[in-house]
Order: sequence, then structure tokens, then C-alpha cells
Amino acid sequence: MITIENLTKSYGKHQILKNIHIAFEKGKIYGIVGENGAGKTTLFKCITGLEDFEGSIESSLNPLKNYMGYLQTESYFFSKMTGKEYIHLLCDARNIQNTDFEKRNIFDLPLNQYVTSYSTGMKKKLTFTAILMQENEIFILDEPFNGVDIQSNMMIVEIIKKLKMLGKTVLISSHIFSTLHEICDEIHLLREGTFVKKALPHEFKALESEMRDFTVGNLLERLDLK
Amino acid sequence: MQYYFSLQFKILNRHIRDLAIHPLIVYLLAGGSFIVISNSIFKQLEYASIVYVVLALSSTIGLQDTSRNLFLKSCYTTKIYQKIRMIENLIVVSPFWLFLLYKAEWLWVGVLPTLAILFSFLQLKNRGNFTMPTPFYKYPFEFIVGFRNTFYLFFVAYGLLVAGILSKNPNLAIFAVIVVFLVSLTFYMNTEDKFYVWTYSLSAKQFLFRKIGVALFYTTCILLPIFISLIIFFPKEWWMMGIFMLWGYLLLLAAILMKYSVFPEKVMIKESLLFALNFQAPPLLFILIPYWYFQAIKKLDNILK
Repeated sequence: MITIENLTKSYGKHQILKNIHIAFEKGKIYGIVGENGAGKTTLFKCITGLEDFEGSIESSLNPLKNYMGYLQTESYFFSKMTGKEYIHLLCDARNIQNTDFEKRNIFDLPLNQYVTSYSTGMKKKLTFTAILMQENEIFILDEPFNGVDIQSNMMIVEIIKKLKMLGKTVLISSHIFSTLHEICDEIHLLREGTFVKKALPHEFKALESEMRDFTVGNLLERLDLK
Repeated sequence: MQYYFSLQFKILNRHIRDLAIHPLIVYLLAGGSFIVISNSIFKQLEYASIVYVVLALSSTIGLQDTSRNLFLKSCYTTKIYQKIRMIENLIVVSPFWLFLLYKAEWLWVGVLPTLAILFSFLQLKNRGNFTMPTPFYKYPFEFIVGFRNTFYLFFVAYGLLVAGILSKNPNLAIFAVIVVFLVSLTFYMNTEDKFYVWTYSLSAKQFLFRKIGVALFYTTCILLPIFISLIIFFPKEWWMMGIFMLWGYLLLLAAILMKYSVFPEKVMIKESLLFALNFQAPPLLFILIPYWYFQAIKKLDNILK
């Protein structure tokens, strides 16, 4: 469904992504993990077309961006715009005529209030609701669980599973390994701009252990906690 | 407190330097423009001093932003916070005050700083669940957001129209048309996040035509009562009104095209100067509009392709 080849992205002399090769299939959930600054968000921005890059991204969907819902780590919201108007804007952008927002407001958000009065988690849930209503084929979710309460977290997990059942493709970046473990078909480890490992469900635990060893190592001893 | 003000000055200069221009030039240009505009207000309007004081006080509203002031309160004691707010307001109204002094408007010379100090005690309360209704819901987003931020200026325009009709002064009524266009223009001055363009499943041309269509339609809706009143009360002035309306529509069109001609970058000093020139030489619009249109198509193609 999406094939990425030789994707490279640099900011000035600093190379963020190096020769990325990966393919995403229809009806699968992909987890992208890696430490802060590994290039996850930049990769998502390249896939969406929000950032220029070298290399190629091919897809059977054309233009790809019109079938994509992108949940950013921190979405930008206009001041004095209500939640309902935000959803309306995003649906209008895709020519989706749906006025029954209240019924589909499963996170029980105060849609008639200004978005700027929402908490971080509410903003995340609003954007997620809006991209769901856009009826996309591909969902790119950058840290969808950040700042979200446990009940909503569970709800998001169930929605993602439902999306898979509907044959949608979902790309998730998250630091919550247990959640990724539960929903992903594949997890890819991004380190310093390159995919260094791909894990299938039976390899998830080993990947988590390897990541822990790599990241923590003997750093705790340096802390000299007493 | 002194550090706070010097920091504000530094930040302001950084913003100006980001436009690739020396701050001194901007201060000189801004000062010059301020004098020209102030002079024309006093030349054109009957109750110029009142309009002028309202303008001065309106310019302090931005400083009443709740989150900004909460931050200041968390940094300083109540006494210092209040002092900062008073000084800020006085700094903002000082150019207006100096001009009133030059015009020997003694009453307002006394009233303006007093009101500015009183305004520093005002706080924009968090209105809880209150959401201002807007008639522009159907086509997001510029008019939804813009109307909620500046709705009172439309009432000022309608007030000018009524004053024009009562005093049988068509210039005042035509000024109301100009106010509506200027306010609508400001809705298109800020560059939105790239995501809000990217998410559209439209071609660059369709996207631009949609933006322009919405802007012209909503502006016409706001202008309609003024337009009808002008036809009824000042039928002989229809041609002048027609010229101003055409100019207003072209300016609005140019503003939208200018914004997207550099998108996703912000409009810089070069574009701003070219745009400002249209106020002096309106025929320039017939060159700039097609130029900015093709530039905008190019820029939007990169995002919407």
C-alpha cells in the first residue's frame, strides 16, 4: 500500500533520516519506536508530505495525502474555535458532509467550547475524533496516548483494532511498549535515523529487553543513588 | 521589573531582525506611518479625537491576554505585576498621547493616560463555557475566528454608517465600508499551520478559489446593510461607493494571494511593502494579483499535490 525507498531527510548538514526502506500493507498496524530525536516525527512528516525529502514514497492511493489522517504530537489550534468547528473544518477539507458530530462524540468532549480551553488529552482526543470522521484509509498517530486518561487510552486501543478490522493501515509512534505490544502487527525500531530492527509479535518481548539494555545499560550506576 | 522591559525590547527587536531588516528602520517607518495615519484621521473625521482615543485604548487589549498575565502574576508580586501592567499600557498609548499633545487636545491629553491606567486593572475573565455565536459557521475558519476576535469593530462600522446617515455625511458612511474591508483583511494576515492546508483534498487552484470565494461572500454579507443604506440615503454617491467596494474586494483578493504566495513561510517585509503600496497606487493591484496568484499556485502545489 505504501512503499518507501531510500528516504533521506536532512536539516542543513544534519541528517535526520538515512536511507529508509519500509513497506506498509493494508489492514495492518505498525509501531514505530525509538528514543527522542530518533526521527519518528520527521519520518511521519515525510510520509504525509509535510516535509520535503530525498527518495521515494509510492502508493496505490493517489494522491496519498488525501487518504491520510495525521494525529500530530502537538496539534495546532486556532484561538476562539470550538471543538465542533474544528471537526467541521477537517471534514469540510475532505468534502465530508457530516453534521452528526454529537452522536459520534464518543470521548464526550465539550464540543461547543473553545479548543484552547481543552486539556492536552482532550485536544488529542478531539484531533483523533476529527481524523476518524474524515474517513481516511491510513492513520498516522504520533504519540496518540500522551496526556490521555486511562479510560480514553483503552478506547483508543479499541478504535485502532476496529480500524484494522476495517482494512485501514495504522502507523503509531509511542513510548508505551505494552500498548504497542497489544495492537501492533509489526514494530520497527528507529535509531539515529535508520531502522535497525523489525519485530513480529513473538519477538516483541525480546525487542523490549534489547531496547532496555541499550538505553539503560549501566547508566543507573552512574546516578549513584543512595 | 527593569529586566522584564529590557527583555521585551530584545524580543521585539529579534522579531524585527527575523524580517531581515534593521530595527531602527522599522521604528522610523512605523513612526512615519503613524504620523501620516494620525494626520489623515484628524483631517477626515469630525470626532477624530474620540476615534483616536478609542483606537489608542483598543491597542492595549492585546496586553490583557489571560494566560500571559497569569504568567506575569506567577513571576512577580501583585504590586510589581500591577506596576508592569500600568507601565505597559502607558507605553502603548504614548504615541497617541504625544499626537494629542501636538494637536492641543488638552482634555484627551489628560483623559487618555488615566483611562490607560484604569484599563490595566481590567482583566479578561475566563468566561467558562461561554462560546460566542458566529454567523460564519458554515465555511471555516478565517471568519469564525476573526469575527470572534474583532466583532466589535463591525459594530463600529455600522455605528459610523448610522452617524453618516444622521449627519448626512456620505464620507462617514463610505468610511464604514473601508473599516469592514480592513477588518476582513486582518483575518488573512496570519499564516496558518501547514496542516490546515495539507488536510484539504483539493488542487491548489480549487483551494485558492474556495478561500477567495468564502472571503468575498462573507465580506459581502457584512457589507450588505451598509451597501443598501448607502443606496437609499446617498444615491448620488453610488459611483464613489462602487469604486471603494471594488478597491476593497481587490485588496482582499490580493491579501489572500499574497499570503499563499509565500506559504508556508510568513509574509515578510517585501510583500508587506508591496501590499502597502496598493494604498497609495491602487492600479498596482492589477500587476500584483496575477503575480501573487501564480506564486501561490506554485507554493500550494507543493503541499496539496
